[in-house]
Amino acid sequence: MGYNIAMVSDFFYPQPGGVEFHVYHLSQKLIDMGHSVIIITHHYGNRTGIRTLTNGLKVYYIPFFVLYRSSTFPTVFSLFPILRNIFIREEIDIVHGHGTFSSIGHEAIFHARTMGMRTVFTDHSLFGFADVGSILGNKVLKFTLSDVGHVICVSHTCKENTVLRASLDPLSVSVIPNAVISKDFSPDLNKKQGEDITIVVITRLFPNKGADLLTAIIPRICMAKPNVKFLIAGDGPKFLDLEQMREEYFLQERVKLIGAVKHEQVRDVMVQGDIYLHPSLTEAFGTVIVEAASCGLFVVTTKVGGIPEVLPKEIFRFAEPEEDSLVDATLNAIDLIQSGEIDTSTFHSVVSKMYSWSDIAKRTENVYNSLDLNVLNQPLIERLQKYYCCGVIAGKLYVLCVIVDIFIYAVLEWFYPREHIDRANKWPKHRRNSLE
Amino acid sequence: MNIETTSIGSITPKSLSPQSSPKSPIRHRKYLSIPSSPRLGKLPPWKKLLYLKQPYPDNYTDKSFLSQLKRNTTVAKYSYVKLVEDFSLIIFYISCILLVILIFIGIYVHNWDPTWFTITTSVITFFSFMFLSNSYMINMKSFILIILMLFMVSPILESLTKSTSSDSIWAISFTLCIANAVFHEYSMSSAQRKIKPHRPIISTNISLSNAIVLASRLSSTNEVFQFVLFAVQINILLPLFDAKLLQLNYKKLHWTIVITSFILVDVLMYKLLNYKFMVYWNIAAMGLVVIMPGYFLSLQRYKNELQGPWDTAKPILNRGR
Repeated sequence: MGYNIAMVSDFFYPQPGGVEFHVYHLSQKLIDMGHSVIIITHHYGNRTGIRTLTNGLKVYYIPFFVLYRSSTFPTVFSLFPILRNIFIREEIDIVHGHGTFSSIGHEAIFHARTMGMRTVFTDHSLFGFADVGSILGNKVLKFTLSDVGHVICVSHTCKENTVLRASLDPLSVSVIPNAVISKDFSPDLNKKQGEDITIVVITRLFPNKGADLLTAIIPRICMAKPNVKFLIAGDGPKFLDLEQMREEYFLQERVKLIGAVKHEQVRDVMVQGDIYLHPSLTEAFGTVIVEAASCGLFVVTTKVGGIPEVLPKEIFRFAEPEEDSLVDATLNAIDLIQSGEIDTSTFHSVVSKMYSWSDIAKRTENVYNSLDLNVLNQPLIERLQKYYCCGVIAGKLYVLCVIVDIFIYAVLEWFYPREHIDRANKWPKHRRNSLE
Repeated sequence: MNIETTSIGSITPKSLSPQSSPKSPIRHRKYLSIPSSPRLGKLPPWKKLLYLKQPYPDNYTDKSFLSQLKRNTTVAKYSYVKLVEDFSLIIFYISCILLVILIFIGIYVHNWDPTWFTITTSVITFFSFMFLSNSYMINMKSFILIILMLFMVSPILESLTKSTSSDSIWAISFTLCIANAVFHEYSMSSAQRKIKPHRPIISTNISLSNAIVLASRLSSTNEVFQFVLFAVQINILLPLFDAKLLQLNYKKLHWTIVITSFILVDVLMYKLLNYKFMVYWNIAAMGLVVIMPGYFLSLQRYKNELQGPWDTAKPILNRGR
């Protein structure tokens, strides 16, 4: 008997991104394993209401005010009526929230706990402790995770970060990485080996993705190696800097800027190159470097965040997030490729054995199985105790929120009784005999 | 160690390590079971890698957990004497504001003639800036320009707030003075000042507004002109001059100016207002210079900065090559 799972996140299709693909692929694999999965997100433009994707993956686009970069406005209670309705309608057992910035995910976990359900939270990003945004974000996270069933992080560094940010018991945090669909990222077997070496960069051109480093090292590498070309995909506020650099050093012939590309086209861009350069300054997992390695590219990356955990040393070169170090590592990688010391043709099969979504889904199911409602549903006073210990002022505020939420729940049960909510028909299942 | 009831401030890497958690009596969660896994103990050492399939459960917490956590690495050490010096800058700036207000009271209530002290301060300002600046011709030019401009606009300023009642003006002036003291740039270290020139833009504007608002209450054009000129010199140029002195490390001259202005405020308060105001002002000033630095130092032990591999790296670029 499979679970009825609700994935809740602000970030979902049609928007591209790491969290979005994680939610989608994980849901697909869980459906294959015999569970029933729905996704709850906010509306995207005219994409509202209920949509059904491949394999009967039902998506609820609920109407809600979008604040900034598709994060919804953080209200504490306002989504409770509609979420309760969906949870009851779909007979949900497990609520799984994704992403620190997704306030809808936090709210769903909070209300699900009020309703006495099992909850899981997946953290996809890293945060510091110093700036105002992080402090506020960490307070919200602490509030949600005070009473969550289990937490999943995408890398060990991310786990350390989340445990500190939300003051969690490390044993209630699991590390389950992202994955790639390796057949979508296969190397181009017909590629001609020419004299030139192409370095590919696919990144949003933001300061925290290391766009400044990129702008600084390109002229130096081009000067040192006359047969190197750059292919840069991605858009962002630093695009102008790159264009200026290209004009200044007369590199129009050698540095190609192709702007933002769709996720489906990423593979086609990647296979045009020999080396993938990743100058990011912070990264929880770095799916893109796994994708690049899967396409048969040698990876040069900065040693930040969770990146050192992701790939074995044979596939990539580390550099410190410094201009000199990154230039040295890149030149070193160019020499290795030119001399043929590295055989990139095996990368694809190596990577495809390391990361697969069915493995991730099994491990996630293992987490779901570990959730025990008898342990989770403690008496109210113990639940309040957990919230109260979160901070001198914040603790009292949290307790107040919990109590108000319980009242709202009682009122909702009175006005919209459970029995009056229709139960949705489940998509007809035929469990596959074997998973690939 | 029960993590959920400990605040972040008391978490140390040691208290989070798994050795302490399995033994502790309050343990909420167990390791997730992996069906095929043999008993923990005869296993290869755990590695912090994601691509390996390791025979450990997903929520396994190794003893190396949080080993890269660094705490309070960027915290500066403060000395009490240095802090007293820094805090005295606040007293100095408030003294400057008070001087202007007190002189205004002298002119407005006691009908003082502003001529003699405006001339004195002008002469002092003139020579002191000549003494400091290398290109005093530029300074001379702007000095004369500003005086002429003030002279031209003083009739307008005089009749600026004719239709407003005095009470509103006092209220506006009070608000402006508070804002002035709050938003002034008391930049601390002289090393920082060498990179970024000292330009207190907000407080300069507020000072000028305050001078104009107050001057508009005065009765003659001459008084308005002289008072605004005086206020500009005391409230804008004097702090700038003092900052310059600090930058050049003329400590003695700096302290002479600070103490002179403080005593001047005391004397004027005693003469114009009431000895009570003088006492309050002295107590407040002493509290700010003596007690506040100590309080600031005592707060330092609550510093708990956490740094680790999750922080956004600061790129090191070789600019100017």
